[in-house]
Amino acid sequence: MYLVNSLFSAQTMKKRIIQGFWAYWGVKNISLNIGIFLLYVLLGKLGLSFAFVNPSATVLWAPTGIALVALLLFGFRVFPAIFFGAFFVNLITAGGVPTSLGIALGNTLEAVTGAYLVKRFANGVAVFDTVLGIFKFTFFAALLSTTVSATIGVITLVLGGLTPPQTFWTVWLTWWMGDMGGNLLIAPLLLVWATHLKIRFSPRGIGHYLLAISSLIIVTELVFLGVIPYAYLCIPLAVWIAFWFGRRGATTTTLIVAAIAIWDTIHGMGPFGREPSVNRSLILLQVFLDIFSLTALTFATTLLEYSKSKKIIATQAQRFKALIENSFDSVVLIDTSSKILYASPSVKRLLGYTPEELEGKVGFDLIIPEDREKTMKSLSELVLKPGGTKTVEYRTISKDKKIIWVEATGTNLLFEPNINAVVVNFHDITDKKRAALKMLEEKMEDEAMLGSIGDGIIATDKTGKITMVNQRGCEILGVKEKELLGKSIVTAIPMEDENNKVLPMEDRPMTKVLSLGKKIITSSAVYYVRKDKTKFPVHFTVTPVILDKQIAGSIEVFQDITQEKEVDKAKTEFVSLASHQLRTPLATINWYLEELIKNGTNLTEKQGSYLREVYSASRRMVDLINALLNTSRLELGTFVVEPAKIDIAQVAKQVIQDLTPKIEEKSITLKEEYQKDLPLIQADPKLLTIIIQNLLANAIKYTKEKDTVVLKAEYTDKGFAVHVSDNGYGIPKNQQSKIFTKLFRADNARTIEPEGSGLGLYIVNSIVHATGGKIWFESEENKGTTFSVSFPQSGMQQKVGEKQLI
Amino acid sequence: MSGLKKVVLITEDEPPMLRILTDKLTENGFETLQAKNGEEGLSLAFQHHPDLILLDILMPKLDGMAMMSKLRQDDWGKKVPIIVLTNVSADTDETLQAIVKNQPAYYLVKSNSKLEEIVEKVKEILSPLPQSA
Repeated sequence: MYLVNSLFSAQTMKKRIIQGFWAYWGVKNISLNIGIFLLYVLLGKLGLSFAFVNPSATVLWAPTGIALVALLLFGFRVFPAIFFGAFFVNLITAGGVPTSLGIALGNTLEAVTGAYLVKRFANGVAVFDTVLGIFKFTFFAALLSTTVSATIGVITLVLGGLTPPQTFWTVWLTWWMGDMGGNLLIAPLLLVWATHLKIRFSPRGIGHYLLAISSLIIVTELVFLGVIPYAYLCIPLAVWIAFWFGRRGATTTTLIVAAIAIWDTIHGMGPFGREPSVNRSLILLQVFLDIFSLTALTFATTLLEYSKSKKIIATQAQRFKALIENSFDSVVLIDTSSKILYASPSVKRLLGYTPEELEGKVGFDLIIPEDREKTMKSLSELVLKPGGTKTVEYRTISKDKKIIWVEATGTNLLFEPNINAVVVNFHDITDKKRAALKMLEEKMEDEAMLGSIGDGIIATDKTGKITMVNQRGCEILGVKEKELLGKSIVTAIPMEDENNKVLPMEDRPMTKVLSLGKKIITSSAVYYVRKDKTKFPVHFTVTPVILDKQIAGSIEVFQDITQEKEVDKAKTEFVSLASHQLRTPLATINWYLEELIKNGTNLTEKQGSYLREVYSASRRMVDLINALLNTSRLELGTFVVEPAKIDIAQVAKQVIQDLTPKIEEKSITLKEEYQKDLPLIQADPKLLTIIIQNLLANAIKYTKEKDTVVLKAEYTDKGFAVHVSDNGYGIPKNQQSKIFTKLFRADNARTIEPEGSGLGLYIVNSIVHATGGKIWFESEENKGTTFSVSFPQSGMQQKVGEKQLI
Repeated sequence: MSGLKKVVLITEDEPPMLRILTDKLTENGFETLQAKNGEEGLSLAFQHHPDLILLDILMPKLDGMAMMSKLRQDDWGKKVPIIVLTNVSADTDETLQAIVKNQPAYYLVKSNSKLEEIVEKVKEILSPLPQSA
């Protein structure tokens, strides 16, 4: 179908015919057609002169070969020559116009089919360049396409009454054999010569050629004249000629043998000449000639392919050599015992030896003894695998006795022609090796360090997936490293707050660190849940990992603080209890002292003042115990916040009243600045008292005599604020960050006032934070300090608890 | 009931405290009764029906809280003003609620209160103020 579509669709035909006759065809084409036409007619007439079974069917039909080669070489445009040639030959031989037309059609279709198949499946004009091409040609052109002509031709003869139907198969076979011969004997000759016309003449060559031809003619004549009637004797000559003169020699030999053999056979001579009929003789001869032609041609082509691949191999070897010579890597070729057969020039640069110095040496001798066994093993393994490669790193010794690390890749080309060696290319990796060793050492150090750290460490990537966890971390969490790696920290290690609520992703400190790029230290009580669902209070520091100014991940250092918490709780409870016990004797002392001071009329002035000192010290003791007690309550989280509507000014005035003795003692000017119409605040009076009392007491304590302290209370749209300012000693800059820390006292404060618990600001800060307020300060050493506390308009947050602060 | 003088029952297990409180209140014109524990305090209270009770919390035999609740079950005891005077436990939520529940009751921390302040408080409670008259 495809064939028909492409060559014979009505439209294509019409178009091509018009183009052919009126537009496209020039003189050249017409003369080409005439030439082929004449050759076709000539050889056709010659062939038909050997037609014995039917005037139109001959066992020697060279035109088939001409037609096929013409179509292959010149394309479709020469089909008129074939068609009219066939028509004309038949017309002048036997039959009338109709049968001649039918036969001509068959011949043309045969040629077109053959040419198409060869072009499509067997490389076209290059069909005889490979042995495989010859096989394909034999099948498609010689065996297959020839059935077209035979079938159409014989049907035409039968229909035209030129042969009786019962002779159909005899005539068909003769026809088919004839056409096959044309393709096998004539087509190769024409095509090979047409594509390789150039002949190089040399006197010796001509002599050789003449010798070969004459030997061939003599032997062939001897065979086919019947002197030595063994046809196969021609074959050694064909092989000889094919070997020396290639395909042109082979095809020419076929032509000569065919010519002599046919002539002699027709005249009843030779090995095929004694058959009952000439036609039978010719058929047998034809078979012989076809096989002879194929044998000679195949042999010649095999030789051609061999020499071509030899050339390719030689080129490859050339390239291979160039590659080695110019390679930046050093290359040596060694045999199976590592003897160096060849060394490339670049070995000088690497090893200090010239290639000549190395050639003949045993390669293993250049390798340091420690690495020798390893390389020997690699080589012995490689030798067993032809074509295989193996890479090995070892230390080699240069000419100046330096040890050089090299990476060598061996390729087993022992069975490769022109090489026959193991090709080893190698290069210096000393620097790389040193760096790698150093890195390994560092890595091991790091790992040892991380493993020995007593805190848990978890590293995550920027999505929160765990990339590393140290030994201690696994122990604390009760999991194995592999259970965590690659998982999200949020799901792999759940975090809960005090109320057993699991913290969602967005509340996890790590999420904040990854989004904000800031370090976070635990501020509130959180718990990690172990794999077995037990949990522990955790203290951690999460730090972002910044690479190229981008957050690349986070590192969390954490500790299980169960014990610390328990110790802390026990400590707090102890303080609480001890404080109570201490207060009873103190209250007793105070009460008795109060009575003594008040009623001690018999005391001297001095004795009275001594008693007052004792009393003051005892009171201070009570204050201290109260502060400790409050601290323990704040830390236990057991204190109550009970807001009520109160007046800040009133609370402040009460505090001032309590502090008046101290204010007067230091002659301090206290300025009270309460905003007019200050609204009532929703606040716990006790807590507010503690706040103001501490701030004011500090201001008085850390201010010189006769200085000024300002107490200010205001209400804005942001809420309530109380400011206590002094122009006293101030807080040193470098200690300001610790000022709210429990038991901390600034250096200057210690010097000025040895008395002090370091609890006041801690308590104030704790209360303010627990009740939803804010505290801040501004301070400069020797200039003064301003502490500010603020609460939102809604005042203090309520808190249910067990104990009140005192 | 003894004449013009108001009677205060002091229930306190610490002898020095009991003594100074007694002295101070006597000085200020009160008649006093002393009890060294809750049991004693309770029997003295029911026996003498004092005008006011000063009550310590941590005491042997019967503690202050228990004594207070027993008092409140009595018809007379229901109305007697009590000042809880303590250093220990008086500030737990439970105690605070007991005080609220057992009105009229007051609460003073010993170490934070001057002796004078305690007397003031007693006087304040016992003086016939205009609003209670």
